[in-house]
Amino acid sequence: MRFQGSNGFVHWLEVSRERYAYSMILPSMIILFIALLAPLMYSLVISLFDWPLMEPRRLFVGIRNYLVLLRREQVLRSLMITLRFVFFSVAFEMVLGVGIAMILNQQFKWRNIIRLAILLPMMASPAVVALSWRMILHADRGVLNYLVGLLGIDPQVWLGADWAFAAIVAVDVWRSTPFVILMILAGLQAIPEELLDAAQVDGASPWQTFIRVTVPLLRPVILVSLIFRTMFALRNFPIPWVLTGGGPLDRTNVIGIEIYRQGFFFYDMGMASALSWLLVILTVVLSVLYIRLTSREPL
Amino acid sequence: MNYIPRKRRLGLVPSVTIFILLLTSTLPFVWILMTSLKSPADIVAWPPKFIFTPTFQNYLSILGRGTGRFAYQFRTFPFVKLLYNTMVVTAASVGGAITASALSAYALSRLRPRGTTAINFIILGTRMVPPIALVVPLFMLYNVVGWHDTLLGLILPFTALNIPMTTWMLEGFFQDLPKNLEDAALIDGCGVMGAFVRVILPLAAPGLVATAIFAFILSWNELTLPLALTMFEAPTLPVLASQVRTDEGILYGQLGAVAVLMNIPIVLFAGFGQRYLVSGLTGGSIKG
Repeated sequence: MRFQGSNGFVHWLEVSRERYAYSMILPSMIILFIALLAPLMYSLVISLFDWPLMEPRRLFVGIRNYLVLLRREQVLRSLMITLRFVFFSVAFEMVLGVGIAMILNQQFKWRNIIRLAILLPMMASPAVVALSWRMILHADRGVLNYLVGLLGIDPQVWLGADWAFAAIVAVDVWRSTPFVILMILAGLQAIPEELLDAAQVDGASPWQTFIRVTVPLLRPVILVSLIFRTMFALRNFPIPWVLTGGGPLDRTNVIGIEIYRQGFFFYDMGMASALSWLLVILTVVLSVLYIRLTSREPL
Repeated sequence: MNYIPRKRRLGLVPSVTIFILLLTSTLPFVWILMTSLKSPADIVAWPPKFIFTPTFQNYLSILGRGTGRFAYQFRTFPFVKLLYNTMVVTAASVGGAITASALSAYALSRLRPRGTTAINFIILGTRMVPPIALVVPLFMLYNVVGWHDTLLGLILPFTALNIPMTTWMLEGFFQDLPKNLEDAALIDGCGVMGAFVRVILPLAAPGLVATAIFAFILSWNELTLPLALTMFEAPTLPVLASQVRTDEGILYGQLGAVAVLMNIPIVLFAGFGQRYLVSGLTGGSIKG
């Protein structure tokens, strides 16, 4: 923008724009600060204290909560369960999601209806999803035991000690694979057709085209899906909470449930806060790690 | 899209995949819908009944007009009251998040003051904060300020949890509008705010609606915070859905009815918002 003889006006406009811009950003920043960042900082403070909810004792203990945390068997088991849960559910979701997206990547009649149908599991409330599956998986009245009975399989206690972990992984895969499918489909559609045709003309087999052309071009989308799925699998609280409550025998006691227990069953606010921060740190470290590992050149 | 769509008959593998996909994603919903329409006698029947006379008595029960046995959780958490709570919290947090983030998204996408990249980074970074990590500090703070078990105590964090996503989605929509669109309005003496309200907002209206839908779904579904921050006055519907006891099997019909009623707005909005889904889910990092 340049007006003859009106540089003063343009300058005024720029300054006023800048000032306006900051004042427009301010409300969002204030809300984020009050409701997310300040509480998070407060929980960092609590995590440095011996802070039982029901007693007046507030004793500064430095990083002792973190040290105790990493030595306590129940917490370590909870961490292992969480990592196993993240690994299995994300692995299944990525493999299934990429595979199904490849198969679905063509024009056909019912495309939009099918998109809508696979959207439902991931849009529905996790509490409702877990409630619904809890009814379906019920050992005595659940319809799943009836269906496997038709195949000649004995009824199983799906939410019992043997199957509970598999059940929370399966429900999470059911709920979140559509996310990966949709992401990969969007990525596939952004690949120019000419590139694939060119590879074909040059004599590449479909498999070579897939490995040499499609996968490298899809890498950013796969990376984003992986980061998002990992982030949300790590913090998954509602599904195991409603489906199993962390049991039986703590086999589905993911870190989110352990935080809730330390805070609201044992009233140990210091420990619960330390665990919360451990979760935050894990989330950040894993995301950074992914980006580092998978991008040889910047995205 | 710059390719010619090729509509052709699907091969065997894609057809079977699609068929299985459709069955697995919809049948659980259908089964719960059927459960919610069964009488107590039909629910305990074994083998499970696939054909039965539908009844609305479960819905009437949870709406407080039924007779007979009543699942215990509805005494502590009356459905109608929780529905009201959920609607108030959802409406307020969506409204608040959309208002605040429309302003910040406009500034960050079109005015781009110094430090835009850093501010964007902070806003997207807050998306990494897990709700469960907020439960303890908010609980302690609310005990001090007396916000425990209040709707306001939910509205504030719900709004904040929405803002990263809504800001990123709206930035995408604002960026897609032609450059220098508001300059004419500025020169005519409209002011930055006037240009934003009169020129940009009306043109971005579809994007605003799509963004609001995604914020709605986030708030409507949120369980973690209300579970810890409410008792009897301010719980929302996901809290009710989370109160399952297996010995209440006979009353599965009523729980099924809760699940169905909670799914209704999701189904409606999912159809409406699916065009914007991918950019919504990833906060604009990928355009779909």
